[in-house]
Amino acid sequence: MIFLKLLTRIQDYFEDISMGKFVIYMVLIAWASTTIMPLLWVTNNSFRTTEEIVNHPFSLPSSFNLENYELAQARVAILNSYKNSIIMSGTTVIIVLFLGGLAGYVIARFDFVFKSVIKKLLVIGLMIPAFVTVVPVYELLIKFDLVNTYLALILPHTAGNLVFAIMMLAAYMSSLSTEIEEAALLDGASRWQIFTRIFVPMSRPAFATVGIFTFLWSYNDLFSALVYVSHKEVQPITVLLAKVSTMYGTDLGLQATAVVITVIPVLLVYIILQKQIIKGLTQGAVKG
Amino acid sequence: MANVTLKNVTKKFGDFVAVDSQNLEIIDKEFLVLVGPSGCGKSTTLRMVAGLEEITEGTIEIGDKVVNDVPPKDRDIAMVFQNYALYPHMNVYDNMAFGLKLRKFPKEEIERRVNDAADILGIQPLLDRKPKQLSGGQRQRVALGRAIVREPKVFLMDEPLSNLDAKLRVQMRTELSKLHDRLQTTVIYVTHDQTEAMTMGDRIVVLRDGVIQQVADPLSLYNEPKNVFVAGFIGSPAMNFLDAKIVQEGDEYYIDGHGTFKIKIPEDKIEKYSVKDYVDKEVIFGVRPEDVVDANITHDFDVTDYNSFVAEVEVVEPMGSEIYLYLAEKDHQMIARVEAESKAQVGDNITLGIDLRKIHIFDAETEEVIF
Repeated sequence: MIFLKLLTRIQDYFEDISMGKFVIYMVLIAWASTTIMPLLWVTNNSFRTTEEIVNHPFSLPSSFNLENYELAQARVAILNSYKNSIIMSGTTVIIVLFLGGLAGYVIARFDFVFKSVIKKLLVIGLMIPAFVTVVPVYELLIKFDLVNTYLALILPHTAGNLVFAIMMLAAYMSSLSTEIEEAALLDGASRWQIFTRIFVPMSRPAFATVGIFTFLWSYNDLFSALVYVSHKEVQPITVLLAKVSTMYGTDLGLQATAVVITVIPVLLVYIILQKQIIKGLTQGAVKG
Repeated sequence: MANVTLKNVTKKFGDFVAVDSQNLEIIDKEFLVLVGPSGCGKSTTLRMVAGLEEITEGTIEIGDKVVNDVPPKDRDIAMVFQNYALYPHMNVYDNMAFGLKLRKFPKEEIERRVNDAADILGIQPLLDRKPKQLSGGQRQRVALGRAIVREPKVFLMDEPLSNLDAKLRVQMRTELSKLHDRLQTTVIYVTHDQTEAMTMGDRIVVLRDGVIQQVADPLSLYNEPKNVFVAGFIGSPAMNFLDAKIVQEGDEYYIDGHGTFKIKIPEDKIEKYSVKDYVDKEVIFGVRPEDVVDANITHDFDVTDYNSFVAEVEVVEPMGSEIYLYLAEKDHQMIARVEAESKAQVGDNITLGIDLRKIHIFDAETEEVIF
């Protein structure tokens, strides 16, 4: 009965939409499936044993089995890596948003002597691939005795993401009405108060977009993590994920669990900030 | 409450002179309107008073204090912007209280002032709403409220009504005038709309290309314009201007429209003004549309050969209480604002009388008024 009702509803829906829209939806559904299906498959398998996975790769778990999750903590101390990742990426995001916001505000709203030169340098900065800087950065980290500390990843990640953050935030802030700024000036606000009480809250979509991208880049960056923080105590979860697949290559259940645990924070941040991100992306793009 | 004095104030943007050595005394509690077409420097003048624009030359005094180097927040002024400039992330109460909070007013005082202003403006029920939940008129009230709570010496208003629809604009116009009567604060008001200027201002400053053309009360400005620009800018429909020449015939002087019309200049005007100096010289003859009348309707003056002409009606615009006639007489185009009883039809050649008491003549070269 319910099934019939559902069918009629689907039928009604498709009668209402045009052929063009139907084709577009079909393509979008197919495309979304390519990302959603593997995620569901991995999540499903994280509750199953390796044996079950090998024999019946696509069937549902026979029981809701948390063994893999317990194993992940016992064998590879996954929670510790999790903590490291959150601390390093979280700190990177905070610093990038703070410095990027300040620099973006200055570029958007002040005129100064070397403004155009600085803007050009920023663009050039965007073009330099991170790999090129690995050796000098590593040497610097050794010099300051920072290898295998949280800062060894926070500093390069901050530097790497700051240019994007500044450009994005500056573009957004320059699109905000100057009259609002002037109104605040007449209301008695200092430059700092205008920044913190007017510009930051008004630029929330841009800050959210920059925040999520910075978090993603930092959180996903395996290469820098392998080089700068190889020590077990400080290694982030991406390194652990790579290790699990080499050390426990045959334990498919454990691997699936590690993947699911890694993806959770990213998904959470995305879901929470989704609205803001879409707003920020489109506004930045139009105005940029 | 304070006088505002501009002494030789000039503003240049590179080589472009936006405001050219303006001298202006705005009296305490006065409602002064700056009016002029786009780019005439009216907003720039206001922004210089606000401190949002640096002054290139000259001084601005508020009260008895020169404020050239005083930052905007210390000038004790409040400004209302054209696009309201409300803080979108704050509710109405916080928008109005923001300035007071920054100035560290006690909480009770802030509450009292915001509530008082909200009562005056009738926005008490909106205090919890965000700007995006308000209509244009409500937003403008909040912007006014934000200015009122500060209890400043001077209100600066930069085209505050131009984003509102026509009906609301008329309503807000009277409300602003009432508000000024109630608050008794100096107001400098910028607009490009001459109706707003005429209806609201105690005095009006007409600006053109950064130069003050005339400062006067609304009626003086309307009846005694100093030059062609002011005469044409104030009044709707605008004053009719016709190229002409002054000719002398015996003891009498006429305005000769190069053969298309011939109007006798009243004797009192010949004595009073330098009409005789302009004999055989080119002048601009100016007459307001309401002073051109349909000769078939009786008026308080006689229509004779020397104050009338015949023209063809090209367009008839009935406005209900009156009719606008668009007229053509050879090369001249004119508008007449005649009574609703007029029977003039498109294509008719009708006789029109001119009220000689209200005519104007301007020097064709300098465009300055002769009378």
